[in-house]
Amino acid sequence: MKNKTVIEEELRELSPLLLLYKRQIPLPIVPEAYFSEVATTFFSEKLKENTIQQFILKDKPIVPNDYFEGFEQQVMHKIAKEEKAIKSGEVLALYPKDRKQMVLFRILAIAAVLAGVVLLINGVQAPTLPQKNCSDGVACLSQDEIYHYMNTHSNEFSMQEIKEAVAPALERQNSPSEKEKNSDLDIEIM
Amino acid sequence: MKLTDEEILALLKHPDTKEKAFRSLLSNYQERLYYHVRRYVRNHEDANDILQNTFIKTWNAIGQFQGNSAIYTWLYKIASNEAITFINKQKKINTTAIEQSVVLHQGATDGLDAGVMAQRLQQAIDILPDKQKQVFIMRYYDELSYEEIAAIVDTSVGALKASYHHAVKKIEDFLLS
Repeated sequence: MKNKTVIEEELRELSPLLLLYKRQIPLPIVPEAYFSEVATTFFSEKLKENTIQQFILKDKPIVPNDYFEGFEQQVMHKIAKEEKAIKSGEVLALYPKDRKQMVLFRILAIAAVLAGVVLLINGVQAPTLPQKNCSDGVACLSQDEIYHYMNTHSNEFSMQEIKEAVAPALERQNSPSEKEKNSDLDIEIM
Repeated sequence: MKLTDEEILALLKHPDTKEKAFRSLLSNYQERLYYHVRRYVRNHEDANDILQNTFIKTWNAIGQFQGNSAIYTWLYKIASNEAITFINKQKKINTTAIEQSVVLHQGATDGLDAGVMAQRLQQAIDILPDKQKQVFIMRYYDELSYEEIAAIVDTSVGALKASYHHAVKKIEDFLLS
């Protein structure tokens, strides 16, 4: 009652309109005998077994029976399964069934590469030297061989004999086609 | 014979007397709490739901009640929070039918004015923030002192006075608009 007086005085100062509302608006309607049944309703079996349970379930998520008992095992099983998968991933070959074929293929490939290298080297090194035709006798010798031989055996030949012996070779050397051949030969020999 | 709060609390601690004590608690506070929650909602069914939930929560948490504050303070806090939670949920679902409040007030049958006034006032309360709504209902309808309200909502008396004054002004502006 004391509170009511203080509150109304305060309201009169703050808002006379709200004070008017407060005095005119009645209490809300309540169904008859509602308050006498609140306790009974609350403790009825329905409320005990359903409403309270529903309330508890509403606030707490539903967990299946024995969920936490088997939880540890579930986790350990999952870990073991994943570890197994990782390990098997490390030893697995890309083509396990064709392994022999793969080895053979590699060997053949290496051999082919080596053969190619050898052929290439041989091709580069093989000189295109002119075939010697020794039917001409002294004329088919090289100049070095002729000079060397003449230096060694100069005392055995007269000037005339030497001129006659060298003449055919000199003539052939002075011809244009022979000059080209000789120049090619010089380059290759160098 | 009505049991005191102290007697109720003592009996609530023993399983054998728990139900009897709780029935006394309901008997002592059900009306006050009903009218308190009824100010947040517009119909009896909603108020009943909130009141049921309030007592269910109280029943479940009664073992945790330390007795540091008056039991009605604790009950008011639970009821008020339940009501705020309820109306906020309702807001999300749909806007409640304001017209219902007209026929559910006693004055509505005597004359249209009381019903229209109740409807307008309810609309004005609805637009208040939750804290101002709680303070206004506790002060304007439940006629609690600032000290009692402070114990329920854990706020200083000064802050409560400011909240109440703001709420009154907002409602007045709404009613005059």
